[in-house]
Amino acid sequence: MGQELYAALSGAYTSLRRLDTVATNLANANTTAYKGQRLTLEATGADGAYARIAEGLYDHSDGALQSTDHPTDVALQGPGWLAVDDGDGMLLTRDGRLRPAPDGTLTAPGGRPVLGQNGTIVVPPGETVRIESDGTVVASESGVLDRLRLVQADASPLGGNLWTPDGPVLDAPEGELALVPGALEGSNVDPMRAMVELVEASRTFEAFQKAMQASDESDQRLNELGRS
Amino acid sequence: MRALYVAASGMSAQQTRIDTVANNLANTSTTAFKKSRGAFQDTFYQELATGSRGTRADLGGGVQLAGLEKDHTMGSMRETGNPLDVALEGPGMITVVGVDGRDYYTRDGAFRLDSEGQLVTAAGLHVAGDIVIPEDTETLSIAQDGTVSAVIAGDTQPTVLGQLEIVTFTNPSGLQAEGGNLYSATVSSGDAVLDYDNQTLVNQAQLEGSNVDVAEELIELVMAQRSYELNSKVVQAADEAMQVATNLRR
Repeated sequence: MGQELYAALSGAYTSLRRLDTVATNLANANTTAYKGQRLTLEATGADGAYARIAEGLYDHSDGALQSTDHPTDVALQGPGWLAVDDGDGMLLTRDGRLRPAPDGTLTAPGGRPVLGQNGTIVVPPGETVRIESDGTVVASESGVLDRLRLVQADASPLGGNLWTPDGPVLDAPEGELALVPGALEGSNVDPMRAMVELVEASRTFEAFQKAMQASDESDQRLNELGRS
Repeated sequence: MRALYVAASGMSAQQTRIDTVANNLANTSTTAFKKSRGAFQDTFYQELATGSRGTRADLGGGVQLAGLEKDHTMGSMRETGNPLDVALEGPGMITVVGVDGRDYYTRDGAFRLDSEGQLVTAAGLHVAGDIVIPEDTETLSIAQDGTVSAVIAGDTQPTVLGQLEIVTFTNPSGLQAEGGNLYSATVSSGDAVLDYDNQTLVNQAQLEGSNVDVAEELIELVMAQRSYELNSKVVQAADEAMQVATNLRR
């Protein structure tokens, strides 16, 4: 048994995980503000003969805008996030389907309050609310309630269109992050590219299977040599 | 094979999208119908590996339905010439009393009179406010604030008969559709609040059409079908990969 068998196995394993990643991307081709993911590999082992997964990289490019005309839908364009209150910490999202909860608190998808400059935003009872392009939240009678807090940070996905910040959360500099009211950001998964990745991952897996078979065959020959 | 289950979640999401389109298209000529849209979100992530430099790779579990939401944008108005028809312009809804005695809300203003002359919906539910139109009414007018008044035979001045109860909700998207063009308040929509400041105008002798845009629905249908197919290709690829793995041992 040579090490090439295990080298091929590490390659086969990583190709299957790439297949899983493509599957996740394609399943989320219609998920609001979804960011496509890909895996990077690195060489490992004494002579770098094995492959292993190094990192999951997210494509943070903007998804296409989808107009909804809903007064409290917002889409972000550019790098950054909406800040979401998570009790003692902060979560991030780009899914701008903001809705008032029964008590009037403006919430992000999943029901956690979205943060404004002065903390959570509460819509007075019986009033309708809309969000303007500078992020101000305006109630039908009380007028301006607050302005949405836009932030920038490195983050990892948590699910439910929420992300956990990996480092410090900073307020987004003026002009870098635009807010489009009455629209939502689509998924940035490109189905064409995902299909190419799917084909590539399956073919690579097949190639490693062939390598494993070849390694098996040469071991078999070696055994036969010993017998004659 | 994670990919199989992930793709299955994708196919199920697309199926929901197709079902939603079907319901929207079936209601293109329903009075004051509000189209629905599915909202989707990614599911849990699992840590897959940590790279040599401490970098991380997470693997997602697929997609899930975050909720079906009604789009409460207005449909187009059309003249009917029937003095008992009303269309609402603005966010409000008309309160009607259900057979169970609870309040329901509608934007379908195709009203008529029951045998006692009381204003009822097309399905016969009483419009809140117990508005009774006298038999010898000559002209019936419904003002923009919902006041119903009639000129009764022999009179010259109109008599006020009552007012439509127009209400608004903090979160109309949270209203529960009850069928029959009726909605009920939920925890998510908040309670009905009387539309004191007339954000909503009542237009007599008009009806609000459905807000379904057929072209938009057809595009949605095509997109959903294609996405379904893409996910099915993933199932195929995962299946083939398993077959390849099985063939390792001959």
